[in-house]
Amino acid sequence: MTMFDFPDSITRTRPAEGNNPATSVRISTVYLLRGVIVDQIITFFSQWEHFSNPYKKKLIWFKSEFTSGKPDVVVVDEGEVLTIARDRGLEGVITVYVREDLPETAEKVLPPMYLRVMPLLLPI
Amino acid sequence: MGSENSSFGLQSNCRLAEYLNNALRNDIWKAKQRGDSTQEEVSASTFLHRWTYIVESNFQRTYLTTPLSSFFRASIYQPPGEGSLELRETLTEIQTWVSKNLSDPGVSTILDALEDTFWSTAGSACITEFSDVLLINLKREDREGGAGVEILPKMSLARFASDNYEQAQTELRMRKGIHETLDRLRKREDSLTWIRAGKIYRATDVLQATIQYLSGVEGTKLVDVDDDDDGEAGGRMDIDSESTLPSISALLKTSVETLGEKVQGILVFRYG
Repeated sequence: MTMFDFPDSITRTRPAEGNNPATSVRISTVYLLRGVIVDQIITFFSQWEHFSNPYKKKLIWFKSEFTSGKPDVVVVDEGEVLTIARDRGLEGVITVYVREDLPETAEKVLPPMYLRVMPLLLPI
Repeated sequence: MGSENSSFGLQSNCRLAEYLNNALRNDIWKAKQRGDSTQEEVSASTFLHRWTYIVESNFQRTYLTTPLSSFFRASIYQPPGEGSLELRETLTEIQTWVSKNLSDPGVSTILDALEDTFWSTAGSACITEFSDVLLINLKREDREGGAGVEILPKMSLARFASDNYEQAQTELRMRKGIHETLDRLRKREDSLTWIRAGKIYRATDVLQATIQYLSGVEGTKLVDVDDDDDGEAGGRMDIDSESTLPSISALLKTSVETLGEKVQGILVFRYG
């Protein structure tokens, strides 16, 4: 028997409002690590790459370091994030978790101007 | 038309920013301390918690169509119990102290630390509303650096959901019982084990060896060696000086079985 093996979601009922009937809403209980504040110098944050494509979707991690007075942001592996968060941070660490089913706004990225196909304007 | 929209958006943004700024400043000046907390500084979580409250209270002045009630705010509930009060709170950040019991072995995760916070001896709490964004502040009790536990890139907080509260508490009690039993078992095994000249001796092993030896010699005649040393002629002729070794290996086997039951039978005794 596995202990604490609960489903990864709960279902809540939203009461009826006006003409809208009561609805059931599924809420995920799974959280994803999206950021770590180690101290005032080092902070890790992440960004989805290919968010809308489930096959290529990947979380990219960045480390921002303010050691020499200027910000230095570099791409890092997730493993480095987890290792540093475990061992560093004089006042502990703050982890930022985001619920898995939270819809993220994905900006539609347009191709560069020179690749865009302009609508053909025909003279009347 | 386009310029009108831009102008309206800029104006609205300014109004909103000014409103939020003033609301936060007034809010912080009015109440520096939150509840029983002695923390006066405006931490990131305090800011987000209050920001959510202010936006929710007057979201008509924002671009939002519905309040962001659960964006930065989770609701927790602690039922009243023995020695614990009923609690209802909303929070943005869970502040967790990582004990040495968790950090020293090096195998614990952030979930273990959260269990210590949610299921403390003072009472067990649960999450009634899950927030979209959750901050977890991990501080080690031994004041060493870092979180002290493994940070999980993905974790389920289903065990803390109010929907699973009763089952989680049952399983928690079961796990505590198993831990106590294993601890007793370890202590019992330690008491039945001793070390001589760098070698570990276990009571059961010693008894097994004794049985093996005695089963080979029991029933044979025992000769009093001291009588031979006396040098008296005819000592071995005295039939009264010889005795038969008693059959005690059966008794020893019973002892081994009893010992085995004591060592291994605690779980059976507790959980039938």
